[in-house]
Amino acid sequence: MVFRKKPFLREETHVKAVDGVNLKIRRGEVLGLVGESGSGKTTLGKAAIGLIKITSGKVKLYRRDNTPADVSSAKGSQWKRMRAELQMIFQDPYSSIDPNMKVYDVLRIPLEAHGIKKKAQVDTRIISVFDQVGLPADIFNDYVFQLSGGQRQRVGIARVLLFSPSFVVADEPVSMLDVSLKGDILAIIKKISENFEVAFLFITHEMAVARVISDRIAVMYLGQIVELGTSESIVSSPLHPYTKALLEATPYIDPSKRDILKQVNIRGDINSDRPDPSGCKFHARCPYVMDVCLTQIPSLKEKESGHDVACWLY
Amino acid sequence: MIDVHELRVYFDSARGLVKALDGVDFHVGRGEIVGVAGESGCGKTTLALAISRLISSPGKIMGGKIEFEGRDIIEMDEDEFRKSYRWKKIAMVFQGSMNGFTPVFTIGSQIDEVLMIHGYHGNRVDRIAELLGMVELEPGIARRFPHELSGGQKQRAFLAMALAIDPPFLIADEPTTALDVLTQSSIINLLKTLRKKKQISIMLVTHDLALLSEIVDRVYVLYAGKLAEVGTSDAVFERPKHPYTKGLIASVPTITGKSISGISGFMPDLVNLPPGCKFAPRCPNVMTICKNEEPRVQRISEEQKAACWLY
Repeated sequence: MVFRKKPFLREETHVKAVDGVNLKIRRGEVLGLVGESGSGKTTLGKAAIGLIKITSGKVKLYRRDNTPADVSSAKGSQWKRMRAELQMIFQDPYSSIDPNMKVYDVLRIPLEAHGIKKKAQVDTRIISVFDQVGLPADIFNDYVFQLSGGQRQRVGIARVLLFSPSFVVADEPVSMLDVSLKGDILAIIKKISENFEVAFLFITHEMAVARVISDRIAVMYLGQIVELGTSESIVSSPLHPYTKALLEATPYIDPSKRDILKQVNIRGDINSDRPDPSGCKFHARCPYVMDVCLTQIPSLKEKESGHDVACWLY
Repeated sequence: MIDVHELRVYFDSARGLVKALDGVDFHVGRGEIVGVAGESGCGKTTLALAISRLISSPGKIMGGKIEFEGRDIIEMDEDEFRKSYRWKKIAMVFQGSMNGFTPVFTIGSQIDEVLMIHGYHGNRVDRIAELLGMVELEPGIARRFPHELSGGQKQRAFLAMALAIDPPFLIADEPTTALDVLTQSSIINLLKTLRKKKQISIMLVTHDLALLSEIVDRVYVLYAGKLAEVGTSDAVFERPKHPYTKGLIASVPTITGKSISGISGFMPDLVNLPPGCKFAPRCPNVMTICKNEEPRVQRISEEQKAACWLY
């Protein structure tokens, strides 16, 4: 997948939810997109699979046979075919799957919508995806409301796998799950990515989760990517002041850190409704702000091999 | 400061009796920050509600004692509890507290009301500014309406209101769950500072183990309405004894990127609890006795207790 600049305008007030993002996600890669609420990460995710109209720029999908296809402008039957390749896992398993349907039907209906109607074929496909997510076939006839959150999320992932997608946007898929269930879901995603070469855009506000699942991490702030690198380098040598603040603020199980006040030296809230500040969008909260930061937006540039940052410090 | 003994809270539901808490002991000393950890359905919020006397039908406290500074608060008259304890001595901040502000009055006037009702004698305008400053909000926030504030600001404003009369004991149930990590960090710093400066005791209820390990002195781990393990923060996080605690800690994603495991199986149905140890169906160390008899909480070391047949 390749994205180009995409501002997204809403109503008259022009909220630039995503403002000039360039991103390449490789086949079979899990790219973690980390940001707080209001950073534009969900908007970027939805735009990536064509769920939101983009204002300008392009989203290109390189299909399994390497032919490029324009996600943003596809229509009709071309769009329908592409839909199957682009999928999304949602944050809330309670509201993204109809609780009043039988589990079997949740998976049968999309298959029928794409022309797979023979019972034998439908059954084979459903059993296969169930197997990939570790769900037992004996819940076929259960209603979704009988399932727990963790089970529902697995059904959500099974639904995504029905058409062997090449790109999946996972929007906070484990945020609403209890800790003991997160590991399993993350393991399923990792396995799918490796075994079937599926690219994932894994959206989360938790650095730790991103670190566990992602190959690379992109840090997003107010519509722009401020840092991009391997998950190892982002965590061990963060460059952007915002990334450093996020890491410092992330709690870590280590009792020796008790009673120490965290040195997170940025203040205020991310307020995405305020008019766009000129210059670097982070300058008002940045402890290292310089004159140039107030007037010019830094662009994402490579600082070390494979590690990009958008900051005037570099 | 607060002593809970053999507390039982049951809920009468259409499907049967839900034993949300079934014989739990709990204690917080002066100036202590104590954590209550566990996943959904373990009973931790029920414990917080019971201490705040906010359990209402179909829930009922079926047994046990809750003593605050030596006085039994379960049997206490509601009037006395409301006048002398709630807010004055026991303050509460819950996960959705930010939505507890009425939208038609300013933040300042709502905090003012709390001060008036509880007979605050000093200058209320100064006090409001002082409280807002404590939670790192600018004094101008007092003139704003709740809808003008972000989630993080509202949660902090509510915390300011909870602390209005300088309560010695604060119950915080998932106070930062809906907030961004940076805001969460500043609120946790605030709680640490409050404990240092005012010796306030805090009961912090959350599923976030990493968060607890950063701030609490002791931690209780609950499972299916019962105590699995309790001990000092060092002991429980570095040398967990109960298999559930071990599984839970191994499930927490960390910055080091080490892959995480889960705990197989699911939380038992609180209406149809299995006999014996409630964790037995999911326990990697299960033995025959576990399925038949419930383990009692036993002291394992000077700093730790657990309810497990392994010990």
